[in-house]
Amino acid sequence: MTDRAQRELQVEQRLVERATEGLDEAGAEELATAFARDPSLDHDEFDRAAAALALAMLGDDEPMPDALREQLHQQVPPKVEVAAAVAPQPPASRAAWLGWAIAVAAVLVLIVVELRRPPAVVAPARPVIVRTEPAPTPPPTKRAAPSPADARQRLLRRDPEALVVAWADGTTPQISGISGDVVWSNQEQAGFMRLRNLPPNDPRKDVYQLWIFDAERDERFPVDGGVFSIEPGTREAVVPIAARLAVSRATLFAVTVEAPGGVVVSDRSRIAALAKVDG
Amino acid sequence: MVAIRASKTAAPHARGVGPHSVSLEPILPEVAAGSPGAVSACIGRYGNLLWTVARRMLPTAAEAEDAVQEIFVELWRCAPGFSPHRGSESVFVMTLARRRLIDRLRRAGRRPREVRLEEAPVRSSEAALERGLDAARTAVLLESLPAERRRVLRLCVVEGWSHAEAARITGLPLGTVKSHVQRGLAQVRRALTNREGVAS
Repeated sequence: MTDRAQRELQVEQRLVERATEGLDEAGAEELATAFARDPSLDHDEFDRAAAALALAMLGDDEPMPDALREQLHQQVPPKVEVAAAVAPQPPASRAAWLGWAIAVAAVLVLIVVELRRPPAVVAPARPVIVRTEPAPTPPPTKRAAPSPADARQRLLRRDPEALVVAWADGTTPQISGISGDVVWSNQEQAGFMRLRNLPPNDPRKDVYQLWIFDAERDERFPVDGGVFSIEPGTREAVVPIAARLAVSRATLFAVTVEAPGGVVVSDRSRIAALAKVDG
Repeated sequence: MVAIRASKTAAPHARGVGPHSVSLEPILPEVAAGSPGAVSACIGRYGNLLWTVARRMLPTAAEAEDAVQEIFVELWRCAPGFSPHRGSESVFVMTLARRRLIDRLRRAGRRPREVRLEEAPVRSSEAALERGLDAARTAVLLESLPAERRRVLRLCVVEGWSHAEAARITGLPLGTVKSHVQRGLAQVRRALTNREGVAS
């Protein structure tokens, strides 16, 4: 068997394992490397095959408990906002999502080089970005709401266990010298980004978006941390994090540059900043 | 044998094409577009299915309830990413659900559960058709697989057992279990890859 054939077999074995019993970190890293090496690989084909098998082999549907059904109807977000301009979404091209795979694989390589240890995340195979509703406006009070910088300090005081992770440059050559930190409280599921040297953006042309990689979630689907902009003349921006889903154990924070009007599917080509969690 | 016809242009690879046809209009694009009632309709269409698969793979009803809620939240988030050109909507939904369930099993350290003594039969292609054309094609393919491979696939794909656990349950060598899983999934993958123009 040639080396190439051997590699292909190993990749297929990993894809099958992922589709049936999940992968440990070493297996996930092996796959990420394979995806970066061979952009023609279909990330999801064995997952889809396993899903089709489950559909064909699963017995008759059991009725869902009424209480659960009721709960589901109640917990539906008030509005899953999707820009009209991007919905319905055109078929995601292989090149688009493989582009993300390659970009994130490059990020992983950078992390390995810089931190001398393997990263814990894998490229999202088909990540989807859904714009969330803006944070609800707090009811008017006589006391002024604390500034984001003050709120960040208060969060740090309330939760001594909160993560504080330094920003580093991403993979976009035009954006460099990023500094500052991310504060994230698992306890409160809240946090703030403090960013210096992130260039101002014209929201009519592009926006920044935060992604949170969670060790206990599928590594291909980072949690959307919200969209934000940097105004001209800003030396240091403190931006509240608006995580769309619960985060169990953050492993990496990434800021990407996305299209205005809310990107539904990112082209995943511009990573502005990264903050890797130690440990 | 049911006839499977997805559209006028489809060329299904399941056996037989007859007078019946099926039309399962995808609902996720409606969810993504924020159409009124789409979310409720989606819960109505997939709620029982997701509950069934969660109950099958997770040890307790409480965990299944948590998982189903988590899956639906993920489904709302990922709805815009569904493309009918890459497979049936039900396959998209089940792919997402299984990922979440496998994550949960791994987090829980794959707690031992009861092994089902009775072997539920593979769904007939007619019944599988209710879950989309890809499911129906897979049901047809399953009829041709050896019983041992079907059993291993049931344990590892439907019940959520790891390969090692399936080897212990069946008494087969681990290598044989892995081989059955790999070959079985590869066969299904080929059957799905050969589909043309299917959009339901």
